[in-house]
Parts: sequence; C-alpha cells; structure tokens
Amino acid sequence: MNKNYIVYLVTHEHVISDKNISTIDIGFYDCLANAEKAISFSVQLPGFSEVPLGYRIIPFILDKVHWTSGFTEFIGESCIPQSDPVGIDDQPIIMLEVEKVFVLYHFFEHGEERNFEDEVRYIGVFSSEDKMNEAISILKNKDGFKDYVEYFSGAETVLNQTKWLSGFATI
Amino acid sequence: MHGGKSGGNEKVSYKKRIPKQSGSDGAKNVPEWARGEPPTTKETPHQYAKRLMDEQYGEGGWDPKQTNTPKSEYSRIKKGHRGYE
Repeated sequence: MNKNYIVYLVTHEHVISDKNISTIDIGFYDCLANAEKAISFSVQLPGFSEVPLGYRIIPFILDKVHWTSGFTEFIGESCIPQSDPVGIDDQPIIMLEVEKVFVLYHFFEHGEERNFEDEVRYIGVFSSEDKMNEAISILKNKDGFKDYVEYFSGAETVLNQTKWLSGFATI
Repeated sequence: MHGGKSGGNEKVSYKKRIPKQSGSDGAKNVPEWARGEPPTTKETPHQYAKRLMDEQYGEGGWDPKQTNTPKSEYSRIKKGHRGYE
C-alpha cells in the first residue's frame, strides 16, 4: 500500500451572520503539532481571540487532485475543504524535510447577481510545480472548470508560515 | 486622518463606507491594521489593496503571490473595497 504524505491547512471560520461567513487561511503546516502551535499563537490576536472555536485543521494528501469530477453548482467562498482521510501508514510531510509546497486554487469573483462573492475551490497541495500543472491539465476540460478555465491559480507556499499576524477586524 | 489629505500638490479624497453594507450581512473581515483605511476615489480594488499592503509591509516586503491567493490579507482588503462608495 502506498504511503501518503499529509499537509495541514489551518483555517478560521467566523460566522458574522447566517448569510455571511468569513473564512481566513492561517497557513499550511508540515505536521499536526506545528498546526496546533500556530492556532495557540493566532488565537491570542485581535479578532481571532473573540472567535477561539473557529479554527479547523484540514489534512490534505500531498499531490492528490480534488474536484476530479468537475462541478455543477456554485459553493461560494466560505466552503471549507473536505479533510482527506489519513491512513495509519500516512506520514506528515515533515518527514520529507521540504520547506515549500504548491497550492492550487480555482477561484473567481461572481458578478453583481451573486453580490460579487468569491467562488473558491481548493484543488490540492502539490510537491512540485509540474504536478500542479498536471492537475490543471486533468481538470481544465471537466464540467464547471471548462467554463472558467482561466481561473486556476497556483501559489508556491512556505510551510509553517503563519499569516494574519495582526489579527482581523470586522468592518 | 482621511477625506482631504494633500499628497504633493494634489488633493486626495477618500471614499466613504456604504451605509447599507455596514450591517452584519455586508460586514467583512480585514486585517486589523487595515481598519479605518478607506480607498481613494480613484483607486481600483487592486490599487487599494496594494497601497495598504505596501504601507504596512513596505514595497517588496510582502509576498506578491498573495494576489493569487484567496483568503489572504491582500484579497480580503481588495474585497473590502466594495464596502465603499
């Protein structure tokens, strides 16, 4: 059985109202302990300290492509990605001693008809730019994606780099 | 202080919050340091977010890949531009 390597996304959800849920990505981490350490730090910051139970840790299997069937419905911006199942033989990516990964999103902004809401999908976390580009090749002709093919967006991402260090304010 | 500050010889005016968006359904989360920093009347959402990021972190002091990243400080400031008229 193949061993998977796991990357951990720490995200924070703030329910402002029934119709308005704000999610913020804190960072991607190379092991669960570092993800938990980031939460311990972040929760002391303005905004986050008022919503201390808003954190989620989402495991991603490295190099796994998500949304391989495409999509037929919009999900908006606040949909939290589904956790990948972590098997007993899987290992945190810290075992690979890598400092960076490539995170691929598919996102765009709707028009006025949907109140300019973002549409955000997490396609996956990849070990190389080539693998990230392979994922785009797999998805670009699938339902949904083929109509928005220019909105794939990849970002080289440093692991264990916590974001939003000044906290947030609701305006 | 905003709403008429001079930059060189040119007077800069700032947008005002859209009142109907001040309720909970229209509220947005932005970095704490961006609170109370409106866009100028001439700025696009991108220009607004870039200016605030440059002022906070210095030009070149923040990762430009944030512009391709949803839920980043940059993208949330850019989104906040819609709360002003």
